Amino acid sequence: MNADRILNLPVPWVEGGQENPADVVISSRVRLARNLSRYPFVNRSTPEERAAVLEAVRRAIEAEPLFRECAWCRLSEMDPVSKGLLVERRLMSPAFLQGSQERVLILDLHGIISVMVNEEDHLRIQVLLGRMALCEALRIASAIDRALYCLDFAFDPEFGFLTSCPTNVGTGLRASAMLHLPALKSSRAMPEIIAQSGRLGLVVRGAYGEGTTSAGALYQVSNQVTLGLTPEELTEKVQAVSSRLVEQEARAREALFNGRHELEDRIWRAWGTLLYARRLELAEAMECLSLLRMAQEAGLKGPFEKLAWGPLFLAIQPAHVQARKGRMLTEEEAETARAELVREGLGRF
Amino acid sequence: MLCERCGKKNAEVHIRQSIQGVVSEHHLCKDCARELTSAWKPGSDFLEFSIGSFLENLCKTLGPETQQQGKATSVVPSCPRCGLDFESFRKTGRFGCAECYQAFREWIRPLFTRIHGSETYRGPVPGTSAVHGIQDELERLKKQLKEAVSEERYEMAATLRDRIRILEGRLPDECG
Repeated sequence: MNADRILNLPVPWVEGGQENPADVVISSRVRLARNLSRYPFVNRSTPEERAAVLEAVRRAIEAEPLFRECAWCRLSEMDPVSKGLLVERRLMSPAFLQGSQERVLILDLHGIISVMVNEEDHLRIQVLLGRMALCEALRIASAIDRALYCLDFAFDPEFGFLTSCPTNVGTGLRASAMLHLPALKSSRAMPEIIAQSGRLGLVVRGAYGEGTTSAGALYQVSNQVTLGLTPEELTEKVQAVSSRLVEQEARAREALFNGRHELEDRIWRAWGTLLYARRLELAEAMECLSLLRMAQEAGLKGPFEKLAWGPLFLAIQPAHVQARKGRMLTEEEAETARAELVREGLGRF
Repeated sequence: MLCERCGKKNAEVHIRQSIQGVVSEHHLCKDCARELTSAWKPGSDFLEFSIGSFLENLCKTLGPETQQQGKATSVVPSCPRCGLDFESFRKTGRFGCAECYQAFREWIRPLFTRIHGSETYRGPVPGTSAVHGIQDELERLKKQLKEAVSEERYEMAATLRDRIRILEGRLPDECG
């Protein structure tokens, strides 16, 4: 699959709904780790064994109606920009980029289901939906899981589904929600929230960037433990904590909008930057988009009311900028190209 | 969540580290975080984390249940199928195949308790081969229970009885 084809695929998780395009919860993801009992795990398998895993998966998936419309992306045959696009669209992990010849991403052409074959585990089944839809994502992932039981997954009655790393054993499930929390970020409440969530067996971390801060105020809430609780219980826990964060974010925004003039000034400056900047770093562009998304959610009047956050958010990511320009760019060229793409996206030149 | 290094205190410091594009996450208690960061020397590129050291720490204090019951064994198991020995597992923190879980069973239960706060799976059971797996496991546990009772190891017997109950609850009615 080449870059042009990937750029034309839908990305439902960034698109938002028709009625209310902006929401604190941006996306919901469920991932299941599975291994075929007949073969050693990926880290101890030969190329022949990994090829045999791939062949067994291919046969099972071809017979499965859920995968009627899907593409097979053999990583060894893809260029770096195309692979970058898939990572930025969160259809595969960055770790999947490094590794053996036998790595394949099976991609649902609706942009919802993806299956990594021969990552750390033989299979990583992922379902990615827009907004808070963890229960639905779990339902879809479980249906795929059941449809693939014919592959004879490694399972132990005491420990559950067996995975290469002990931190995934049991359900093999990672449920996560991506949240837009600009007010909590600026109120400096995140380190405390991160510490509290750790006590509940959950992890809250920056979705982009490092540590407790996150570019674009995007945070990911996910379960850390995978054994002892059912998939439904784990998912509900992530959902409950996400809901609490949404409430806390609303309260923090009220406080933030009390100093309305200052915030309005920042929002209008962000708008001005996106409209007129000739060079844009990724972090700056993400901060501007974050402020404008918050303005939309707060119902602030202005030309940014109709701003489509999702497509712009994707367009400014590094591989997307390179793919649009059709070549590898230096840092300076990328910043210029990013500013151009944003101005085009806003209908200004 | 417990600290991944000492496995004793709550993890309150969360670190993301990117080495050549590979991002790893670490969850530490305040004391371990302080110790690690003070050991860091200017000029070295990254903090020395390894799940291996975490496992090694755990495994130093926790052996198989037979060991706790006074039946000490110095034989460290290897997986009969993929050949991974327990020492290598401690270093890499990765199992080699499904059979490793069987080979290291007694050693890894305490590890799972520390990572997940539990050592027993709850959730869907795949297909008929899983039912056979449960029956095999039940047979094994019942044999161990008999031995434990005859040797008057009542604490162990109670643990085994609990495990047997959980597994029996997982069998479909006609198999029970």
